[in-house]
This record gives sequence, C-alpha cells and structure tokens, in this order.
Amino acid sequence: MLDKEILVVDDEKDLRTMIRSIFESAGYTQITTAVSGEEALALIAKKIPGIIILDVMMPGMDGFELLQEIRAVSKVPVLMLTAKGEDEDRFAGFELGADDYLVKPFLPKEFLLRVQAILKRAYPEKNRIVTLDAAAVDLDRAEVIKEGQRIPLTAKEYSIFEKLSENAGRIVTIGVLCQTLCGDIWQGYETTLMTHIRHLREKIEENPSKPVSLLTVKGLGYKLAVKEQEK
Amino acid sequence: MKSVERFFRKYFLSMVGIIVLFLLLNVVLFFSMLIWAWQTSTSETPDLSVNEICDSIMMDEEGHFTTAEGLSGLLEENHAWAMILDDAGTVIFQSGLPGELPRRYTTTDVAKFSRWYLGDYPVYVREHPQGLLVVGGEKGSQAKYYFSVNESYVRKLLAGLAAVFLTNIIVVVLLIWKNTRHIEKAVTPILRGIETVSCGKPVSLPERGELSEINRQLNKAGAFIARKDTARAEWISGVSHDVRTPLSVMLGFAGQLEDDRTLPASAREQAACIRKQGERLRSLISDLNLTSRLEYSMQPLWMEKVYLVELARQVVCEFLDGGLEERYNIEFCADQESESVSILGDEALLKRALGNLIQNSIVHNPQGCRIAVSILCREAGITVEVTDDGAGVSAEKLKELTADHRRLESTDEKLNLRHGLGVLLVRQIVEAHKGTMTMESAPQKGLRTVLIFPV
Repeated sequence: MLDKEILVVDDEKDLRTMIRSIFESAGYTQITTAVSGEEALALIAKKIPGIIILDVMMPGMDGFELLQEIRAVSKVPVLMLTAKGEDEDRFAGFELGADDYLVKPFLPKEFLLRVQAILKRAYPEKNRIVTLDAAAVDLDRAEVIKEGQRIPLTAKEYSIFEKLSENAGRIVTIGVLCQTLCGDIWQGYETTLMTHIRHLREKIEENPSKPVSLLTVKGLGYKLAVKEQEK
Repeated sequence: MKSVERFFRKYFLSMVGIIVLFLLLNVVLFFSMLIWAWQTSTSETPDLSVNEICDSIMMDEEGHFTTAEGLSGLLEENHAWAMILDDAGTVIFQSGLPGELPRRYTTTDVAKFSRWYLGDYPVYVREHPQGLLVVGGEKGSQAKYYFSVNESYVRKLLAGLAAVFLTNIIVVVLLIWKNTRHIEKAVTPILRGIETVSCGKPVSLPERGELSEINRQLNKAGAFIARKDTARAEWISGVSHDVRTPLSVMLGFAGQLEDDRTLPASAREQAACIRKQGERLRSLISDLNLTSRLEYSMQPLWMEKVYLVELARQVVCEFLDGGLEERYNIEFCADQESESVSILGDEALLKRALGNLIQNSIVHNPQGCRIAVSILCREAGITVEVTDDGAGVSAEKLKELTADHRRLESTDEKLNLRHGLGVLLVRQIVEAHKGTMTMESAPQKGLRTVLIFPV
C-alpha cells in the first residue's frame, strides 16, 4: 500500500505541503503534487496514479470539472476535499464518481483513515490473513485457522467478520452489522446477529465465553482486536 | 390574531352602543322639551281661568249679573273677554267683548266657534247656569286643532311607527356590521403581515384594493429584512468558508508535530494544544454557519427515515473511536421498543445535535465525567437523553441556555456568542424536527438534556 503513487491537486501551496508531510510521516513514498487541474491532467496523461486527492475549489478548472475529465479516462480512486460543509454539494462529487470526500478543516488522522480505506477497497490484498489472538482468518478462502485446523466460515459469519476486520480496532454498530447481514431492512435482526456472533466466537476465540478478539461494546456493537503483524 | 378579532368585535359593539345611546338621548331630549314647553306655557292659557270665570259670574234674584271682584281686571290683563249667550243665541252678559263681534249668534255660529275661532279670536266655552259662557283670548295667542280619527287608523299608525323605528335600528346595525367587516377584511391581512414580519419571515400580500399602498410597503419591508438576514447568513457562510483552508493547514501541521516522536515532549504538548484549540475553532465555525443557516431557513432539510437508536450508537462510537480521553466515560442504553422506532429526520443534523450535546459535556468538564446517552420510547415520543455527572451549570446560566428567544437576536452588537452556541444549534435542529428540548442542571449536580421527538 505504501508504494502506491499519490497525486495531490490543490492550488494552495501550504495545504499541498501539509498533505505531503502527512503522507510522508505515515510512510508513503510516491507523492506528486499539482497546482492546477491542467497540470494534473498532464500528469495523469503520462501515468495514472494509485489515488488522487482533489481540492474542489480551484481557480480555472475546478475539482468537479477535473473529476469529470479524469473519469473519462480512468477509474482511479479519488478523494475530494471541500471547503463547503453540510450544504448544497452534499455531495455533488458522488454523482460524478468520487470515492469519498472530506470537509475542510480535517484532522490528519481522519484524512489518513479515509485514504487507507479507499486504497484497501480499490486494491484488495492477495492472501488476506487476519491474525487474531487465538486464531487467524484467511479471508480469501473464508476459513479460520485455529490450532492447525481449518474451520470454514458460513457466508453470514464471513460477511460479519469481513466488516469487523475492515474496521479493525473500531466499534462497528449493531445496525451496521445487521445491515451487512440482511440489507436495508434490518430492524429486528439483533438476536440473529447475536447468534452469528456466538458462532463466530466459537470458531475464532480460545474461550468463547471470555472473548479477547471479538469484543462486545455494551449496547453499541462489536469491535475486532487484530494483532499488528498483519501486512 | 385573537387580539385583532377582539378589536373588531369591540369596535362593532361600540358602534351599536353609540347608536343606542344616540336614540336614548333623543327620547330623553324630546320628553324634556315637551315638559319644558308645557310648564312654561300653562300660565298663559286661559283654560285655567275659564272655570274661575264661570264661577265668578252669577245672577242675583233680580235677574242681574254680578261678577266677582277683579274679573274685568283679570280679563283685561290677559287681553281676554267673556260673554254669556242665552238659549236663543243672544248675548245676555258680556265683559270686554270686542265691538266688531256680533251680539247675536245662530246655532251654526255657536257650533263653528266652539270648535274653531270666533272672528279669529280663540274661544273657550263652558256651560253656565244662565246659558253658554264664551271666553275669548287674544287673537293669535292660542292654536286650536280639532281631531277626529278612526281608531283602527291610530292603531295602524302606531304599529307602523314602531315598525319604522325597528327597521331603522336593524338597517343601521347591519350597515355598521358590514362596514366593520369591510375594514376588518382590509386590515386583517396587513396585521397578519406585520406579525409575520415581526417573526422574521417573508410576507407577500396582494397589492390591490384600497390599502394596496400599505400592503406594498409591508411587502417591501419584509423583503428588506429577508435580504438583510440572507446577507448576514451568507456573510457568515463566506467567512467560515474562507477560514477552512487555513485552519486545515494549521490542524494538519499541529497534528503531525504532536505525533512526531523526535520532538521533545513539551513541544509536542504545545502542538497538541494548538490542535485542540484549532478543533474548537473548527466546531465553532461550523456551528455558527449552520445555526445562521437554520435561523434564516437557508438550510435544506434532507428528511428520511431515521432510526434514532442506531444513529445514537454511531455518534457515541465516533467519540469512543476518536480517541476519547480516559477520564471520560460514555455509557449507552436503549430500551427494546425504541429499537424499531423511526422518525422522519435529517440524519446529518440529528447526528450533529447529539454530537454537540456529548461534546458539550466533554468541553465543560475538563476534569472528566461520566456521560450517559439513553434512547427511550415514551408516550410523548422517542426521547434522547444525555446526562453527565460533571460540574453542571448555575440556575442563571441554565435560564440563559434554555431561554426561547430568537437566537441571533440574543447576541449583542459584538456578536457575542460565547455562551452555548452549540446548545442553540441543538435546539434549532430539534425544533426543525418538531421536537422539544429541556435541560436540567444544578452546580456540581451534572447536566441533563432531554430531547423528545414525536413519532
């Protein structure tokens, strides 16, 4: 992930410097910047980057126009930065094909999280193995590897686990998990969710009644604690 | 608008009252005039003295008329005269009888003058033991009328008079009523318009009719106020927009310096301080912007089905995942029924409202506190309760926070919004969802905020 080429397009010099330094301190190495839509298009014509960070408000060609031009040639993931909050373009960019957007001013942590999430979605890793306290989960094969044994996950268990691991370390609410399980009309599936969680714990925890990986956050949801070695 | 209706009712009643008073006054005046005329004229009518005169003329045994003393003087004083006719119509006694009058009268003469005049002299007749006493007054001193009318005619006349009177009254009252209605019709929209303008909402009154000028001016005033409000909201929006990019850069670098492990601890602490203050500035700007947009109805509401329990979960999780410091503790609870209850609302705004309440508890309790968020299904609707066990606020401050005045009007000229802009925003959002907001607090007793949304 860290070797993905990142293109930052913003007319504000300080903002470009700031974003570059956020990426650099997070370990990203391939960062290029452009001051205008025209320059960005020229760069893209030469080589399509791994992700584009795009400011909406720019003199000349603005972010939306640039996005349209980009979408005409490529499906490269785009994160848009907008200075308008909570109003009209909530969010016009989505219709034009932006992958996500962030309202200024943003925090570096928030920014990095969004970028990482987009990259994960756009470039799914091969051999995705999630290492837990008592087991490891092979996401590509939907199997739990526990004490040398391979235990298959059911489709529902897999979808729950995938959601939790995508948000590892963060709470995933009951509603979001139920939605993953049964789509938009999920009310009333809370007990079904609990059943699946119990089964999942039996497969991934050493002691399912005292979970250490799949944690319950009372009233709110569940959180997956992942071991850091995963790459 | 009750007061306007009351005003016109009063106006109508007072008009009717004036008419009634007017009639009564006339009746009183009429009768007092009658009494006055009668009292001031009776002394001059000879009617009183006719009986006296009759009594004062007597015949003695010898067939001579004798008169009481002073009769002729009295007659002369009144320019009157008297005579007695015998059965044959011959004058057998007279006193002061004018020379031009005959001394003999036929039955026809008697019949005529007893009703009308005798040679222009008003005369009165009385029966006297010796014949017919005729007393005459001065020419032109008395008016004599003779009436003889059919009784049914009189009855009809009286009934007719009453009917005319009643019709008059009814017509007058109806006219007043119609007039009042007319004024009311013309004035009510104007008063409504003034009321609307006073609420800061735009008015558009039809610019025709007699009072079109006023309507036009009121429309102008409304548009003017709206334009000013919009300008203010747009100004705030513009400023907050321009501040965003510089603030991004500040927050970005401060956040990085804070995380830079090669820096000394004190420098990182300072960077953390800059970052925190920057975040405060960020939330202040967006609160100010949103509150002004909501105030002037410039914020479109994106209404959709919202499950408050799940919404609250996500808000609480954001706080928990966003690096909430150890000294704060957020608990969440929801009852079973509320789980499947939805309201129609703007998800982003509702999240903002709940987030503001939690943030409020955090910011005002730097020593740390426990915050409880609960969603409960109640009779009145679905309630969102945020309680903390922190420092609380004084009764005075609480009053200020819960005062239900127009938000931006409550700021002084310097736009002093230090107090509870976040809370104002919550109230606006709740009101935009037709909900209610109550706050309870006492110093050192924590703060409890309850939002109720009708289901």
